[in-house]
Amino acid sequence: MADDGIAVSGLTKLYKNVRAVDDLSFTVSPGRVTGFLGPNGAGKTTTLRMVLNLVRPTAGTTTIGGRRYADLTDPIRKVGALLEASGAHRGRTGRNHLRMLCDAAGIPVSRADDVLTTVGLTSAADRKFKGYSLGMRQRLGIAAALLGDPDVLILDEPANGLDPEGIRWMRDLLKSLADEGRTVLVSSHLLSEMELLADDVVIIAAGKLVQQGTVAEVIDSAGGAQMLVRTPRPEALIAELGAAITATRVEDGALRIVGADGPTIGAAAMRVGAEIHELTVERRDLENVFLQLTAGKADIR
Amino acid sequence: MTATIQAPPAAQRPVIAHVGIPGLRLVRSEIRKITTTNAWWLFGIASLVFTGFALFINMSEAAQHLARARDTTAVFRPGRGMSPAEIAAAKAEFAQLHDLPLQAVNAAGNIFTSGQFFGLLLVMLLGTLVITNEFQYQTATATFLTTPQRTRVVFGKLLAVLGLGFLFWLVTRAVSFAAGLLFFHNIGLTNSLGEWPVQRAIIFNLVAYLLWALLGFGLGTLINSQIGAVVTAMIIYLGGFVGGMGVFNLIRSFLIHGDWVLTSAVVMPSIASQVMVSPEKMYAEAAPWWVGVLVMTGWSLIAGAIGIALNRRRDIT
Repeated sequence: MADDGIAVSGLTKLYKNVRAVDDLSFTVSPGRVTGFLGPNGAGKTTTLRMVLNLVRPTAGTTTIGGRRYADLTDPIRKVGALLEASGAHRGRTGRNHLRMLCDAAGIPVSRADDVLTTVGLTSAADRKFKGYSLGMRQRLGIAAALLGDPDVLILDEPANGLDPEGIRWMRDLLKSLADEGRTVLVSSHLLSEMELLADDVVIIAAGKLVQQGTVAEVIDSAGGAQMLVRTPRPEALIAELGAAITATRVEDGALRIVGADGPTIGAAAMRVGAEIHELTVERRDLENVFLQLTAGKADIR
Repeated sequence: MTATIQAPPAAQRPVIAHVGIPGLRLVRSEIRKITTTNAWWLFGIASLVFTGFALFINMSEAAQHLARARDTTAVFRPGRGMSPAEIAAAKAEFAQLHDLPLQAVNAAGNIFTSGQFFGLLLVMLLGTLVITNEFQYQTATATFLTTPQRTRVVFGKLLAVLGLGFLFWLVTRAVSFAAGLLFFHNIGLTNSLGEWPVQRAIIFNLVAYLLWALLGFGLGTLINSQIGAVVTAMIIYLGGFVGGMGVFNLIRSFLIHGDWVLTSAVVMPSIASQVMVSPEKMYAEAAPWWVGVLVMTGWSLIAGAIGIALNRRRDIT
């Protein structure tokens, strides 16, 4: 299934005077969950819609398994997608919504019932869409994405409106789909969720690529470990450590030091005779790194 | 002892059959879209109600006209002080009103096409909704994900709309057919179904249903906003019937003094439609019936073609 990756190359979308997406390139590998992250207005949804041939790029190309979406035969057998604004007619039942998609794709209508079972919506299948909660609508959207048993899944904010149980269900579902060798690209701004779910991440801001790699790589790329130090003489310690480090004061009086490890700090403290009350390695998380990487680029454009 | 690492068993992936005839899958999907919402039966009931109402009016009127035509005791009496020309005209009119075969044919033409006025409006609006609903309810995303070739989607919808126009025609005509047969049976007159003018009225009634559905569809393709498309459609339909001829009469009287101005009123869809269904010339300068067909088809094609061209480039957000 090596040919089921997604490749985005030089993608640009210009709206009047805003570069919503600006020369963006990245790749998504099969068999892994890739998180697509960015602040609001970073161009995530526009990018996904360009990959799916719903929005015309100003420049650049996107391919899925080496082919443009518009060139796929029976695309929903290859790619399943859930987008924010993929609605359904208010007066149509969930089952009929799926059936009309089956008709158009040449898929037996019995498949609608299969995916309703997968997403746990069978009991609400004959209720009209207007009576669905946000979480149920999201599940219906995922059911639609699974109709063609696709090799590639592209999901825009799938956790929106799901309760904690639903979020966990989604996480397990996406992980198992990736374990089966499928390509899973998920956009989100729930960073802690992403850290649990994703193998790889692509971070964009202001339409440009900020960082791409495995979750561990991206966290490491933001600099070495952070140390949390508590001492009654912080100024002396900082002076002794010199210009190689950056230190910031945490609210409760502790110091956060980047650029020096435990032994270096301990030795420096001993030289200046500063008592150490606490010295801990602070593991950085995705949220931390994300905020650092996208700082100042998250303005509403 | 060596540990053997076994690959996990491959997950069971469902085998999904390919069903449906490729060219007709989209039509089938569109028919399901229509039949799984309330629109089709609301429009269906409205169409039947209007047909019933029109049948009632047409039948009462026909009963009066036929009773007058059958009254053999009536004698033509010219009014006092009429000029010879006026007397001749009045006499001709009297002869027409008492010409039973002619009156029977007129009555049959009206009764067997009852409900045409609102029926056409309804199929036009349905044709519009088939496209604009996709944007109103944001189902365009799901539709175009399933079929990225947007023009194919439009043609699938087109076939579904024409089928729908035919169905509406068939059902309302079946109702008026049954009612008409009963009516003529009761008053003991021929139903005139063997007469060409009556057959023509019924055939062109079908043509009108299809062309108005097509025009509504073309408008919906061009104007994706539901409210915008529906309002435009209503103005074209009702405005054309109410004020269409008046405007051209004004132009003829005050701006351009040529009879061709009145003939060219056929460019208005509702006048084109009337020109087409009228067995006689609608007015002295009216264009022939086939010009009406061409005008209706032409407008639909222009609106549809521009709509398709825009649609291919449009961003679906």
